[in-house]
Formats: sequence, structure tokens, C-alpha cells
Amino acid sequence: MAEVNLIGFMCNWCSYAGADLAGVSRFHYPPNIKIIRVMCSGRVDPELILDTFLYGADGVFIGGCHLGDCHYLEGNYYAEKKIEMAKRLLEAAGVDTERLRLEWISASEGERFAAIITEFTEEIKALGPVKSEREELESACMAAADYRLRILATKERELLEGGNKYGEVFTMHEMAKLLDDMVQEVYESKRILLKLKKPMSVKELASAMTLKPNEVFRRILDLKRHELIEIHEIRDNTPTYLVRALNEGGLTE
Amino acid sequence: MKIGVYICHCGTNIAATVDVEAVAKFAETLPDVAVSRAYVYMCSDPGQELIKADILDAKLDRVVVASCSPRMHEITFRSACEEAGLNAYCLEMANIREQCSWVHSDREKGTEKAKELVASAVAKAALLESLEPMRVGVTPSALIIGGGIAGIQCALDIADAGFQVYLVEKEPSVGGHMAQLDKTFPTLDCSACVLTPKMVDVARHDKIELITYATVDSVEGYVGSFKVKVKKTPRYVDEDKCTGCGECAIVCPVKEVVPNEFDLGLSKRGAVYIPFPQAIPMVYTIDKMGGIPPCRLGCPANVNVQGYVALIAQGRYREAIDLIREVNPLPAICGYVCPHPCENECNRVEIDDPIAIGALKRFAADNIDYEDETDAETEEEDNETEDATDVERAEKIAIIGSGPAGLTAAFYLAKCGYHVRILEKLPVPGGMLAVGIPEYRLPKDILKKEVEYIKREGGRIEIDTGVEIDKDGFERLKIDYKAIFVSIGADKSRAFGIEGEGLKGVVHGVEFLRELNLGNTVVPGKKVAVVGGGDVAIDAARCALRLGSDVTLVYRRSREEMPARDEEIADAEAEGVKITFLTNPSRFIGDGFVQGMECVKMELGEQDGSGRRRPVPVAGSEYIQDVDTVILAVGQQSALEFLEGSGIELEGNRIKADGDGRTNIECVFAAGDAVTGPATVVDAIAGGRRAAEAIDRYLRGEPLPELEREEKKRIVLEDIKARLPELEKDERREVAKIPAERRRDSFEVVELGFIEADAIEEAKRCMTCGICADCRLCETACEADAISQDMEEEFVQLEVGAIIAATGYDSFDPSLEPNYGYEYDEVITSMEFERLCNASGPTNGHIEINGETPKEVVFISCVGSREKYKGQTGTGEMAGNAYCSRVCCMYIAKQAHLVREHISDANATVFYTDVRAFGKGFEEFYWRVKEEGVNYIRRELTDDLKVDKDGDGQLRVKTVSGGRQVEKEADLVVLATGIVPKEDVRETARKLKITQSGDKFFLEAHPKLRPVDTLTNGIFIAGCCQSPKDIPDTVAQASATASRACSILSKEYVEVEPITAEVDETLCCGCGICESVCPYGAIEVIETEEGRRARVTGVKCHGCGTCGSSCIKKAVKMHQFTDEQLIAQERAALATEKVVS
Ligand code: FES
Repeated sequence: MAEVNLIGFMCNWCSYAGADLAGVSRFHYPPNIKIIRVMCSGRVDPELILDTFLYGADGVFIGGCHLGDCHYLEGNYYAEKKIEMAKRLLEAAGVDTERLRLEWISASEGERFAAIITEFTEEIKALGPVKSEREELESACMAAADYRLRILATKERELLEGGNKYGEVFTMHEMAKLLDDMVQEVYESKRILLKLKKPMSVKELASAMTLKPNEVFRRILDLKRHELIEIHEIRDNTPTYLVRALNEGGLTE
Repeated sequence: MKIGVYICHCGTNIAATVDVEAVAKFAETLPDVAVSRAYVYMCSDPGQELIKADILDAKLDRVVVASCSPRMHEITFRSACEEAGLNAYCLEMANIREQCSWVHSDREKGTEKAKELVASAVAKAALLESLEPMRVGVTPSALIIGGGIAGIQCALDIADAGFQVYLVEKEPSVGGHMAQLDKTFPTLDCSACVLTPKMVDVARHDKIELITYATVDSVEGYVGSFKVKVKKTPRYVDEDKCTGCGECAIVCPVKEVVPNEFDLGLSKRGAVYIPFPQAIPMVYTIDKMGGIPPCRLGCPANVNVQGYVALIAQGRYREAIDLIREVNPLPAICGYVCPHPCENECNRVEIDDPIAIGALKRFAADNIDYEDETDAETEEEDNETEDATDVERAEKIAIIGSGPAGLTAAFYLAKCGYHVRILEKLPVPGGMLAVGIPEYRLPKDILKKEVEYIKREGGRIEIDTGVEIDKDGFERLKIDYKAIFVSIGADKSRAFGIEGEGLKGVVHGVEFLRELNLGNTVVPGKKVAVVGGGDVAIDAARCALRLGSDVTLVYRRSREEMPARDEEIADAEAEGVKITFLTNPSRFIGDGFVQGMECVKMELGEQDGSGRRRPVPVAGSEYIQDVDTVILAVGQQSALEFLEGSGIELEGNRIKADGDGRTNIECVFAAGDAVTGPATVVDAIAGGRRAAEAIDRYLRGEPLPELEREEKKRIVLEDIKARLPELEKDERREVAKIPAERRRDSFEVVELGFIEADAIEEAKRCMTCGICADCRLCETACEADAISQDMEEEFVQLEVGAIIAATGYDSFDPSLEPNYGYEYDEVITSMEFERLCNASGPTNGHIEINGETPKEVVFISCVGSREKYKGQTGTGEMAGNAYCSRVCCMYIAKQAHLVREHISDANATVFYTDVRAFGKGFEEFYWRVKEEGVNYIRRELTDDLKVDKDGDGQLRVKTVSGGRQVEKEADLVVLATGIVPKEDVRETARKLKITQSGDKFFLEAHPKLRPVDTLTNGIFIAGCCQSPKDIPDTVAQASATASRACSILSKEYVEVEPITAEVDETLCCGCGICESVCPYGAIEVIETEEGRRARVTGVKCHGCGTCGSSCIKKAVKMHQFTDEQLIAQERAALATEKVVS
């Protein structure tokens, strides 16, 4: 089985302490995982997760306190939604969502910690290294930084419980639909942006991304309207486009 | 940028699995690393010196220590940095012990992982920033939750150190479990004797505020400055006024009903109580179920049924009657004739039968002397109604009709000071009570004494009989009187409207009864037919029967629809009244005198407006019945002719009045049957009393309070079961009746009423649904004026610098493990044994079970403890805990000793597995007990044990010892139950935001080095809420906890980690999403010159970072965990080449 790289983000109060307890009690688990401490699982940003995959992780593990036990009251509820968003983006990028796992592990669950990490490591080993293209992950990462998805990831709880500012409460189903559409739109746009580092026509884009030309065209129009791309030249009556400017590091809009 | 990296061997803890030197070498290759060293113990002084020297010599900007968990030594290394002049927050740690060397065994891979962790830490370190800790002022006071010995000790220590202490205890008294113990091991000193002085000290200490019967509702804030909301359960007694004299408990009729929590249910207490004689504060508590008993809700007049039944149970009949009279001045009459709707509601119905409330009321009324009323009552009433009775009011009120509504209104109006004149058209007062109800149901002298009472006690009542009011008379009344109350009842028969109704011998039921009751000669014929199915029909039939007639009752529907009470119908039939159902007369036949009645058979058709099925005649079913008298009882109406032209609004044949008796004319009120149509006596009483109140308010010009519309909470059986678990079937005592034969020619009262013994037993069947009966006798009895029945839940806000949880433990519940036979009376828990031994316990210190002194006492150790290692068969999952109770070995020794001390000829046997006599004097005590002759029998934990009774009823303990089956007969088995976390431990943990360990007790910050701290700064733990322990250990720990708390309280301010969020206002768009996710209100969007911007209030921020991961512009910087730092950390951890095996 292939050796895999795992990163864990653990909240200081429960899961990180649980990991420490596993250590103190000498409950062994495979060494693939490297744990990074955060104060609360709510701190974990979808962009951070996607970046971790982009930089070579084969699996990412998020550990928080049990629901209701978060040291900061509600952080883990937000974490849940953010991880959900990250999973949608992973899916868009063709990464198996099993590679991202969220678990609630308390400070006293050392043995359980070791057991879960062992299980997770085995699972990822079975999946092997991530096979997606770098560009796909990069697009997902950029999408995670997009304000629209950030708003949705944070506000999902509120929209489900209290409704939007017009008082419309979303059903789970409506919410899922909204998220799916939004994630797809943003993800595709980011991918086009990345592809347009060199000039391409709608047709070329469509075949490179295995999308329908009219779908690509819709995104192109959108990107143009936001002045993110421009027409590079018109070849045989077909325009090709080029990205205007990718922000520093090429990651964020 | 110069980074120093220090790799710790931690002896061999790390070095055994990680090639420390290799890691140090590797670190040298990382960007910005100027120094990289490995050392055997980084946390040791020389280790720290190493870092300090490098900071100074090599001018390090950042330090990375790869060693144990930062949760262990971050503080140590931060101080080291600081001492060398480097900002404490320029330190980063790589956890290569707990999260690497201790959890992996492959040295090569461990080394690789350590390298990655170090690389990761170095990457983060390069991005760390200097931060300044925030200072928070300290409120020099502490909150202690739990008033057991741990809480008491903490409170005294902290208060003695000069700080204010708030001690919050859930129960009415402090003392906790220690107060329940009899003696303590190994010294055998009396638990209460050592504890009570401390309890008194707590109460007296001027720095301690005791808040008992209260719980912590919520906790906000942080070390140095917590804001705590405490919820005080109403005890209905003002703690400041109560002197503990106990007068309330003496007058309280609810006695020995509630299982006494303090005696673990082995004794019972009343509704007002102190938990135990030495309780602190020495203040009574009233126990209320919350809600209204259903009987009271079922009574139209809202009579406090539970209250008077409880008083009857105590043999206090006069007080019972007085209580009734607060809302109903006719208790005796109601005792005889009320159809007691209360009984239908009684919660006991669900167990066996309702309490015989009606019969009890009659019994009480029959058993007091009505003549002797005045003195008895003065005492009671004096305080309360002083102003009411003694104030004479000038207004005069006229009442038309002296039935129950009129008498009731007159009574309460007179009590308010009004002069009342009742005008009655009949020659006797009482209305239907006098002329409607036959003597065999309500004897005349009962009515008489009750009318007399009303006149005498009301004082200002005049009853003019034989006065008929006509139209003019009514108008005159309006002039002469300030208010008129119309309670004329419904005494006019409705006409039947068929042929022959005018024949002689066809009479109306109400008239027939009236003549009879007035003593006029009434001679019905030989063959009497009564038509109708209501009370009047039954009464008329039974009277006619008694006058010697042969009586047939004809009713047009079936028995189910009959409006008369089932009991009455049955009695009538028993006496010989024949009933023909589904039959209606169609005409009366005769020549001057009635001779026959043509009847037609009916069948039930569609439902009509009343929800009953409408009877329809069956064509061709006519037949003729031979009769010489017909009594028609098919409904009554009111004689309202005198109101014609008065302008009073009518509704059909009734006066239109609201629930308070107000008619459309201001000064005219009405209630009773004239408003409701024919109804019960108690309905009329209820109407009369409400009208009296309305009249009083009207005359005083006060508005009437809105009718109470909000549904009152009804107490249901479930509520009671939760409080009084031992509800058993107990059959209802029925009253005797005179034999049916004797009733045929006599107007003697049919029901004989209770004899005293039965009455008291019957009254004791009452489950006291409300616990407190709300009779308010305690209010009168309390000289200190401390009772406050309307007390409500109260919240107290506290500000404290530190919090100590000393919430204690629960005993393991052995009923969870059936093999211990806890369902037998002779099997008890060790705590119950303590109470049995105790002089102030339920048996006054005699060890006895069901009155018998046991001779063979068997103790079983480790019940509910060490269970992971037991192999009980047949019980499935063990309900108990893995850990050792830490106390049962020694308390068994103590209790075995006490058995021998209390019962000199008793044998004590102990089934044990190990004896852990580790404390001071413990081993010596154990041997002393053994030498006293206590028989210790060893068994393996894995051996089955069963306590049960065989066919012969003998209790036996069966187990294995030394590989052989043993059986031990026992008279008493004491289960040495273990210590389990308090039921609400999780809730408390959540409120305080502290953590629990796997066994559910509160988790200490470090098992060795910070045993009384929690992971939450400023919150500490003491006593058994942390783990099982005995009294000496608890007290020692409590003192330790107190001193830890003082270390905060003694400071002017504490430093709080600057791990907070900060908003980069040049990036912020003011969307406010961060504000919406912050649980502490630490971020606010404010208007700045640049527009709307979010801003963080540092001290409010707890540092979770949720705002950071939510910000759409990534404008939030979460110090010490910034986006850049986390990304660098993650990328670096992934950057190193993998060794593929
Ligand atoms: S602190 Fe653990 S999830 Fe929030």
C-alpha cells in the first residue's frame, strides 16, 4: 500500500488534548498524520483545507469537541458547515470526499482518538495518493476563497434556521441545491481563469474542461463583465480570451 | 530572521523512537534556522539556559522547541524566552512526544515525522509576531458551587484569606453527603459532630454569602472577571425572617408524605420541612409540586380540596370546614348533595378509585359543632380578615331568592361589611335546598344549621320569607338598594304540551317536591308514573315510592343519556322504582282524573345539538299504561315575569349575565340557575361568590380584574410519580347506606356517612398532588411573618474572579444490577445503612428492617465499582464503573464494626475482593475490625454473586470463594455502593466550559502537576466531582483548591493570553459576518471615517478564530493562528520527502 500524507487540524480543547492523551496512554497509531493545533475547529477555513490538498495532502482530518461541548460554544457547528463546503469543492475537483474527515473527539478519548486515526489512515492508504490535476485543486482552492462561497458556508446555519433577510427559510433540500449550483459556478469560473493564462476560445475551453460550449460561454460572459478576462484576439471569427490579471500568487480573485 | 531550534530527548521518552540528533541536523537545513541543538531535557534549567544563551548570543528572533505537548510546557519555554528578552509569543513548539514518539514505534518513521513536525513549526515560527498579554482586573471574590464538605472547606479557607465568597448549594441545607454519615473511618468520630461546627462557621462568616436551594444558571466572562447568574428556587419562606421555630410544620396538614431525601426515603417528611435537625441555614422550605391539583380545578367553586382532605386526615375537622368556607359557605349541604365533580378529576383514578371527597366533606361537617362556631373561628380569621369584617359599609344590598347562590352572595357580602336583605317568596329560606331536595338526601336540620351559620357569621343578613317581588317591587328595590342580586333559581316546571295535561292527577315534579318538603299533605295515587330523566324525576319517583306508591319512571332515551347521576338511578331501582326507557307519553287519558297514559316507544336517531341522539317515535308502538297519578319532570325554568319592562337583557328563559354575574344594568347582578339554567348546588355557590366579589368591587368603584384566562397547570399523575415513587393500590372506603327495604317507607337519610376511622384512612389515601396543600395555615401560624406563598424563582447576578466546582457525587444505584437483589427490603445500600445507624435517622439509630433487628448482616464490596473486570453472568453490560470507589473497603470495615456495636449478638460477614487500606490508620483499623470477629470472605471479582430469596423466603448471598460455591444466609445485606459522578455533571461541565475525563468526573488540568486546576483558566475543582475520595483527602484537596483560587484573587489583575482576533480595516468591507458568528459579542461593526468596519474588543475575544475562517475578505487576523501561519505550517509539513518503505 502506498505511503500517504495526512494532516490533522485539531482543536486545542478537545481533539488536540485527546491526541495528547493517546500519547500519554501510549495508544499507537500510524505515523502518517501530522497534527496542527488550532484553538477551535471553527477556525478551520475551507481554503486552508483545499490548500493542504493542493500542497500534497492525501487526507485531511479535522478534530473538534463534541457538539455542545465546544469551548467557544458554537465553533464546531460552524466547522461542520465549512467542512461540508470543502467537501463539495473537493468533489468538484475530482477528489474523493472520504479524504476529508471531521470527527468530534473529547479530551478524554485517547483510545478512541488512536482508533479513529488508525482507521482513517487505513482508508486513505487504500485510496492511495490524490490523483486530481493540480489545476483542479488550484481552482477549488480559489473557489474556497471566493466571497460567495464563504458567505454561504458561514450563513448556511442561519439560512436553515432563521431564513434569509427576507425571512425565507431554506429547506435542507433547497439549501443543497443552492450550494451545488453555486459551487459549480464558482469552481468552473476559477478553472477558466486559470486556463486563460494562455489565450483560448470558448470551444477550446469547453473541450479542455469537458463542458458544453454554451455553459462555458455563460461563464465567459460573467468573467468579462467583472473585467477579469479580456478578448485577446479574434481568430477566424472566433474570439480567444485571456485573463487580465490574477492577483498576487494567482490564488485569490 | 534567526530561528533557534531545540530538540528534546526527554530522556528516552523521545529519543527511543526519534533519532533526535538527526532531527537537529535536519533542522539546520531549514530556512532561517541559525541554531539547532538537541538536549536531553529541554525543560530542565540547563536546557532553558541553552535557549536563553542563544537568544542573547546568537540574537535569535524566534525559538522552536520540539519536545512534549505545548499544553504541557509552552508556559515554561515562553518564560525562558521572556527572561532572555525575547517576546514570549515568538515561541513555537513541535509536539514530538505525545503526538510522535509515544504513539509510534518505528524509529525511522518516527524520526521522519519528527522532522516534518519541526519543519512545520519552523515555518510557522518565521511568521510569528510579538504580542503583549492583556491585563484583566480581578474581582476579589469567589463562587463555590456545592456546599458539601469540599465546598465548605474551600469557602472557609478563601474567606479566611479575606476574600468574599458566594457558596451556592442546590439543596435547602449545606452539608452534603458528609452530613448523612453516621461515623467516619478510621477514627469512628461522629460525622455530624465534626461537620456541623464547620457548617455553622460558614453561615456566620461575614465574608461568606450562603445561597442555598439555588443553582448556577449561566457563567460568562473569563478568569478574574466572571459573571454568574444564580437561580434561586422559591422556598416560599423568607430566609431572613424565618427563625426556624417550626410552628409552620406543626400546623401544616401535609405530614409524612414525601420521602425524606436526607434519609434516602427511609422516612417521610411533610410539605414544610427542614431536611435534618442541624440544617444550615436553619430555615424551613415549602415543597410545592407546581400547578393545581385536579380536584380543585374540577370544583366549580375552586374549593381547596387537597387542603381540607389533608386536614381531615389529621382529624382537624373544624379547620377543614373553615378552609372550605373561604370559598363555599355551605360545606355541610355540599357534603350531602354535591355531585362532586372533583372526584371525577382525582389523579387516583389512574391507580384505583378517586378519594371519596364528598363523603369526607360531609363527615367533617357532621363532626363539628355549628353552635360553637364563633370562638373557634376568631383566632383564625382575626389577622386575615380584620379589615374586611370589621369595616361596616353603608351600602345596602338586596338579594332576591335565598337558594345557594343567594345565601353565598349574602354571606360574602356581609363579610365585606354590607347590609344584606334577602327576599324569599317561600315561607322558608333555602330555595331548592329547602323545597327541591328530598329529606332523605338532605335533612332539614342540616340546611337549618347552615342558614343559621350564615346569618350569624355574616352578621348583617336579614332574611324575609314569604315576600314575592313583582314588577313594581323590583323597581322599588332599585331605589332603596345600591345593588340587587337576582338569584331566583329555576323552579317553574316546563309544560309538556300534550293532550290531557290539565287532568287532575297530572302534577309537576318541582311542585310535588315543594309541597312535600313544605310539610303539606301530599297523597299520590297507587300507580304513579314519573316522566323525565333528571334529578327532579328521580327525586319525585323516590319520594312517591316512600309515600307508598307503585312508581314507574318513563324516559324517552336510554340509560346512557339519562342526566341524573348513576348512583341515584341505581338507588332508585334498588328501592323499587321501575324505569321504562325509550318511551314517551303521547297523551293522558281520563275523565276529570287521569286514568291512563298513552305511551309511544322511541328509538335513537341522529345526534342533536346536545350531542345526544335524538329520540324518534316508533310508528304504531303506542300502548296504554294504567296510572292514577302522573308526575311531570321534564325541565324547569325561571319565573322571570317580574323583570318585564325592567330593561334587563334575557337570553331565552334565562337572565343574561357574565361570569362575574354582571347583567346589562349596572346595579343588577344575577347568578345561579336563573342564569345558567338548572345546574348543581356548587355551580350556584360558585356563581354567588363571584357575584359577591363583583358587587363589592362595583360598590367600591374598583374595576374587576380580568377573568383569569390563562390555563392553570394541572398536576398529573406523572408529576406525582416522579416525586412519590411508592404509590400503592389502596381501596376506597365506601360509606354505608341503609338497606333498600327500610328506605321504602322512610325519609331517613340514605347514606350513613363515614365512621371516624374510615374517614381518616380514606383521607390518607389522598396523594397530596400539590404536596403543599396551599391551605395557608402556616401563614397565620408564622409569627415572624416569613411565609410567602407567592414567592417566585429569583435570579441573582454575581461577579467573581474565580470559580470552584465542588459539586460532589451520587451513590451508585444498585437497582441497575438485578443480581444484587436490591428490590428486597432487607437489601440496602451503605448510605441507607448510615441513616439506620444514625441517632437522628429514621429508626433513631436502631438498625432494624421492618421493625426487626437483623442477626446476620452481610456486606458486599465494590458494588458498581471495578466492573470492567467483573464477569457477572446474565446481566449483560455492566452498569457500573471501571474505577475503584476508593472508600468502600474502609466504610465496610467501619459499618461492620458498627453492626457489632449496635447489636451485640449479631454476626457481620464481608464478601470482598481486596482490602485497600492505604490511608493513615486504615490498615490498623481493618485489623482491629477483623479481630473483633468480623468474618471476611474473599472472592474473585470475576466470580458471580447473587442475592436472592429462595422458596423459604430466606435471603441468601451466593457466590464463589476459593473455587468453592458459598451460600450465606442473611437478615440484612448491605451493598457497598460506589461513587458515581453527579447526575447533572455534564450540564455543569458545559456551563463552566470545563472538561470531563473518561469516567465523567471533571478533568484536572494535569493529573500530577495541576490536580485542582481545570483547562479553563480561573475555574478549579475540589472533592468528589474530580474523582472519588474520602473525607480527609477531600478536605486536603479543598484547601489546595482554595489556595489556587486565592493565587488569582490576591492579584490586582491577571494576564490573559493575547490570542485574539484583529481586523485589518483596510481590507474590511463592513459586511458584519464576523460579528454574526462571534459567540461573545467581541466584534462589532462600527461607522468609521472610511465607512463601516468591524472592530474587535480584545478582552472580550476568547480566541476561537471562527471569525477568521468566516471573513469574506480575509481581513481578520487571528493572532498566533493566522492564515499565513497555518498555511505555512501545513505546507511545510507536507514538503519533506517521504521515505517510502
Ligand atoms: S474548541 Fe473544540 S471545537 Fe471549538
